[in-house]
Amino acid sequence: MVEVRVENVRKTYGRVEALRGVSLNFRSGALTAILGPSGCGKTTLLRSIAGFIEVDAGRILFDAEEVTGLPPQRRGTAMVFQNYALWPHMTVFENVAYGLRLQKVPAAEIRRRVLKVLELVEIGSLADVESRKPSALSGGQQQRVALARALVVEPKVLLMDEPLSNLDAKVRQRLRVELRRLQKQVGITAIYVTHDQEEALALADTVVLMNQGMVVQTGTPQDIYLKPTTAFAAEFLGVSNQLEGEVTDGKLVVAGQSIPYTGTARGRVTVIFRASDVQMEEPSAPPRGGTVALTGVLEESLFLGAHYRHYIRLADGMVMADSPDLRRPGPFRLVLPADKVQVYGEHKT
Amino acid sequence: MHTPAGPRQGAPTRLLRRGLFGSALGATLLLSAVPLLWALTSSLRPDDEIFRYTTRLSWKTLLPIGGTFRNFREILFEDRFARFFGNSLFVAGTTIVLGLLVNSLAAFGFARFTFRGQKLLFGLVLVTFMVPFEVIVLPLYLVVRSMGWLDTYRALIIPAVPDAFSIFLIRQFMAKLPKDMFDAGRVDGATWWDLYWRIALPNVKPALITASLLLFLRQWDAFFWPLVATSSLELTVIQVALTKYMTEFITYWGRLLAGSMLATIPIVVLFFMLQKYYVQSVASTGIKG
Repeated sequence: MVEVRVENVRKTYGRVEALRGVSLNFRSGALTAILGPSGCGKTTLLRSIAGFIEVDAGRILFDAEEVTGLPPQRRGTAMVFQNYALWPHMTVFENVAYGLRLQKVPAAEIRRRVLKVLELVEIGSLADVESRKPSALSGGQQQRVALARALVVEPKVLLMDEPLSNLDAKVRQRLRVELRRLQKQVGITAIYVTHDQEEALALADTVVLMNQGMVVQTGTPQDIYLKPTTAFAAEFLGVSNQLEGEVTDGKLVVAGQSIPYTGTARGRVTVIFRASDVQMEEPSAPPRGGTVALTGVLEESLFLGAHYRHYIRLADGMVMADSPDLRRPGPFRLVLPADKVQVYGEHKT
Repeated sequence: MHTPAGPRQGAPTRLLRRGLFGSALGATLLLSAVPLLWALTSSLRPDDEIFRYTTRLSWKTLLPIGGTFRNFREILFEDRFARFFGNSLFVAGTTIVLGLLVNSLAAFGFARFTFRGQKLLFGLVLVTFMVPFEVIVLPLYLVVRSMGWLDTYRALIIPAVPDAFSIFLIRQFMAKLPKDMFDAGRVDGATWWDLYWRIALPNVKPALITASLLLFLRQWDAFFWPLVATSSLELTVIQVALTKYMTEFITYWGRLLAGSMLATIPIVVLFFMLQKYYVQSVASTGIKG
C-alpha cells in the first residue's frame, strides 16, 4: 500500500491548460474518487499518475519514490479502462495472465493466481469462462475480467478511468458495491475517475472535485455533499436551485425580496439551495423562525416517481421544489431552513 | 387504418425486369468465362487442333475433342516449367514474409506514434503507390546494379518488399484499434515490440491477409521488372517463362495455354480461400475508415 502524492502538476495541450498546478494526497489503502465535468482534467491527472502523459511541471510520488519520469510499466500501477480494453484475440485466462507472463512468473503460479483473482471478482463458473473470448461475455463480465487483469499483478496503485460508465444502470449499481468490497478486501490504494457524482459519493473514502484543471474541493463524501465550498461544487453536486442576488447592509436581496443575512459574502452573490429542502406553504401561513421565505407562483408539477417536482416562478427566475404530493397551481410561500441556503461570492469556482 | 395489399399489377413487369437483369448477368458471365474455358480446353488439345473449331463456334469449341495432357507434360518435364513456377512461388512467398514484417512495422509506427513530420511522411508513402512502375524502373535498375544484385533473387524480392498500399491498409486497421488496448499492455509491462507483435498484429488479420494476397499477386504477375533485373534461366519467373513460347516465327500455343492455366491456379485458389478477408479489408480502407 502506497500513498500517492501529486505536487503542483501542470499539463498544457496547445493553449488549453488541462492541469493548472494540481496538488493532492491520495491516502494509502483508501479509494479516492476524482469527480468533475467533462474536460475538467480528471482523466489527464489519472493518466499522468499512470505515466501515459508526460507532465510539463510538478512531481508525482509513490511514498517517497518520485515516479514523474518513469514509464508506465515501471510505476507498479494497474489500470481499468472505461471501454475495458481487453484483448479480443485472447481468452479470458490469457487476458488476465498476460501481465504475469511478461513478468516471467512460472506457469503453475500464473494459473493459481489467475484462477484466484477470477474467483475474487466473482466472474461465475471458472471452467466455463476462462477459455472464452471477451466478445462472448456481457459488459459486466468483461469489466470484471478487466478488474481481474488489473489486480492479478498486485499493483501498488489501482487506477480506474470511469470503469462503470459503459454499463447499464442495474449492472453499474451492482458492480459499484462489488468494487467497494474488492477494494476494501485487497486494501489497495485506488484512484477512481468519474463524472457521476452519485458513483463518487457511494464509492469513495475521499472525493476530489475538479474543474477547469484545478482542484475545487477535497473531502469525505459527506463533506463534499453537505458542505460544498463553492457555487460550482454546490451546483455540480446536484443542488438544483440557483439564483442571483446581492448582499448589502446585512440584507440579501434575491428574487426581488429582501431577507436578513449574516454571512461573509458581499456584493453580487449566487444563492443556492436544494429542491428537496424547499417547503411549500400557503402564503397566509405564519412565518417561522430560523427560516428564509420567498414567495412565488406554482406553474407546473411533474411526477418523477418518488416525488413531484414543482416549478415555481419568482419575481426574478424559476425555482424547483420537491414534495410527495401534488399541489394545485397558484401562489405559495417557499420556506427554507436558513442553514440550507448557501450564499457564494460572484466567483463560481 | 388497415390498407389491403394492392393488386399485383406490377408483378409481370417485375418478373420481366428480373428476367432481363438475370439475362444480362448471364451474358456477362458467359463473356467473361468463355475465353477462360476456351484457354483451358485448348491447353488440353494438340497444337494443330487448337484453332480448328474457332472459326465456326460449336460445342466442340469449348470441349477438348481428343484431349491430351501432352502440353502439360512437355512444359513440366522438358521445359523446366516447374523450376520457373517454383521461382515465382519462392519470390512471391519471400516477398510476403518480408513485406508483411516491414510494412506492418511501418504501419504500426504511423498508427501508434505521433512525431514531427508524420503527416508529410505518410503522404509521401501514399504518393509512391500512385507513381507508375515504369517511371522508377531505370533509377531502380541503377540502384540494384550498384549494389551488385542484378540477376539474383534479391533483385526480384527486395524492391517489392516496401509496399505503400500494404502500409496504408494495415495502418487503417491499426489506427482503429482502441488506444486503451495498447495502454493496458504498457501498464502490464509490455515493450513496444510486444504491443506490435502480440496485440496489434493479431487484431489486424484481415488487413495482413489482404496485403499478403496483393503482394503475392503483384509478384506472381510480375513481368517487366524480372525481365529487366534477371537474365539467367535459373532465375526465370513464370510470367517471363510464358513469353518464351512466343518466338519471332512461331507461337507454341498449346504450351503457352498450358503454362497460363498452371499460372492461374495459385491465384484462383488463394482468392477463393481468402475472399472473406479481402472484402472486409476493402470495406475498411475507405468507406468506414
